[in-house]
Amino acid sequence: MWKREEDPKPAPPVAPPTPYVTAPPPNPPAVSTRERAVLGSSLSLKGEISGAEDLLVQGRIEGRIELADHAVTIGSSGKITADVFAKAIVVEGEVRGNLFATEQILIRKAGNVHGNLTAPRVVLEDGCRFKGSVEMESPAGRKQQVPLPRAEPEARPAPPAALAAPAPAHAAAPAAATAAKS
Amino acid sequence: MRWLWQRAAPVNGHHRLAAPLSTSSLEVPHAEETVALPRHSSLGLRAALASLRANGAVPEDSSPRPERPLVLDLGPSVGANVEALASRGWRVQVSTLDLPLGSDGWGAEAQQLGSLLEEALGQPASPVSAPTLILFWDRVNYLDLKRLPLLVRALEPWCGNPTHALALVATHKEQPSQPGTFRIENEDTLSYRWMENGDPRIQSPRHRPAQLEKAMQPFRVVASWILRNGIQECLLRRDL
Repeated sequence: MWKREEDPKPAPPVAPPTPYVTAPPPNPPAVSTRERAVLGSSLSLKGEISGAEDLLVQGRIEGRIELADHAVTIGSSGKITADVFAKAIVVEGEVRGNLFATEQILIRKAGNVHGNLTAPRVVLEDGCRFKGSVEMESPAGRKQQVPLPRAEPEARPAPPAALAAPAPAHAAAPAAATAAKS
Repeated sequence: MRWLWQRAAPVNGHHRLAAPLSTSSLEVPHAEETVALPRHSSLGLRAALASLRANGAVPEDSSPRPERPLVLDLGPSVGANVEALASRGWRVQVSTLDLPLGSDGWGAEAQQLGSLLEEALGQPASPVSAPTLILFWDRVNYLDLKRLPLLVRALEPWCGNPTHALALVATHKEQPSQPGTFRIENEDTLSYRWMENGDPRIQSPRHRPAQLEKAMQPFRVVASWILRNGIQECLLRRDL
C-alpha cells in the first residue's frame, strides 16, 4: 500500500521577541564630524583659499576658492567675487564668479549668482537670482537620465493655427492664427 | 508678496508644485508652500524641444562644449526649467531681461541695447555662445513693434544657424503689467504666474503673428497655437 507521508514536523517555537535596543551607529555620518572653517561676516580676504575641510563664508572673498573634496557654503551674509572649485557648493549669499562642483551646486532662495555653473547636478530654488549659464557635466549622470515625463492630454488648446508647419496630430482643424483673434 | 493667478480660467485646471529634489550629499529643503499654479498644454514647448533635438540631437558625453545646443532663457531663473533643459546635456544660459522693457530707455538706441544685452547675457557675443533655442516667454508682450526689432537686432550676434525661438503672445485685451514666470512641468506642460505689484493690468499689445514676424525678422513664425487662456504660443525660426 501507499506509504503515508509522515506528518510534518511541528514548527519550532518562535522565540519571544527580544527588546529592540538602539545602539549608537558605529560610524556616524561623515558630514556631522567634518570640520568646517568659517570666515566671519566681518572678515574680508583677497587671494586664494585651498585646503581639506569644508568652508562657510559669511564674509567677503575676492580671488579663488579651491576645496576639491569638500563643501563650500556662501552664507547669507557672504559676498564673494571668485571662482569656486569644490565637491558641493551652496549659495545663500552673493556670488560673482564661476562655480564648479564635482557633485552638486545648490542656489538657495536668498542666493544671488552672476556666473556660470558647472556640476553634475544644479538646483536653483524658486526665488533665487541667477544670471549665467548652466552645464550639467556628468557623463554617468547623463546616461542615467530619463526622458521628461509626457503629460496626458487633459485638455486641448483652443483651435490651433499653424502658419507653415503641420499641426500636431491631436490638434483641431488648422485655422489662420490671425483669424482666430478678435 | 503675493502671486496673482491669471485672470482667465486655465485650460487644464491646476497643478501642484513638486518639492525640490534631494540628493544624498546635500539636504535640499522641501517647498515651504504648496501653490496651485495654472498651467496649459504647450504645443509650442513641445515643438521647441523637438527642434532642439532635431538640430542638436542629444549630445554625446564626449561632445565638446561649443557643439552642444544652447538654450538662451530670457525669463527669470526657474530651477525646474534649468533642470529640465540642462539635464539633457544642453547648455542653458539664463539671462533674465529685467531691463526697463516698457520704458524709453529700452528702445532708445540699438547700440546701447547691444551693450545692455551683453551685460545681461554676461558675455560678449561669439559663435561659441550661439543659441539653438531662445525662450522669449512673454517678453514680446512688453515691447511694441518698434522696439521688438531692436531686441532681435541685439540678439542676432548670439544666434546660430538655425535658431528657434518660443514666444508667448498675449491675445486678451489686457495683460499683467509685469512679465510672468513660466515653469516647464514636462515636455508638454507649462505652468505660469504673475506677480501683483499694485498696477495690475495694462493694455495688451496683442501682436498678430504677421506683425510679430515682421518685427522679428529674420525670424519667421513657423507655427503658432492659440490657447483659451489668452496666450498664443509662437514658434519662430531663423536661418542664416
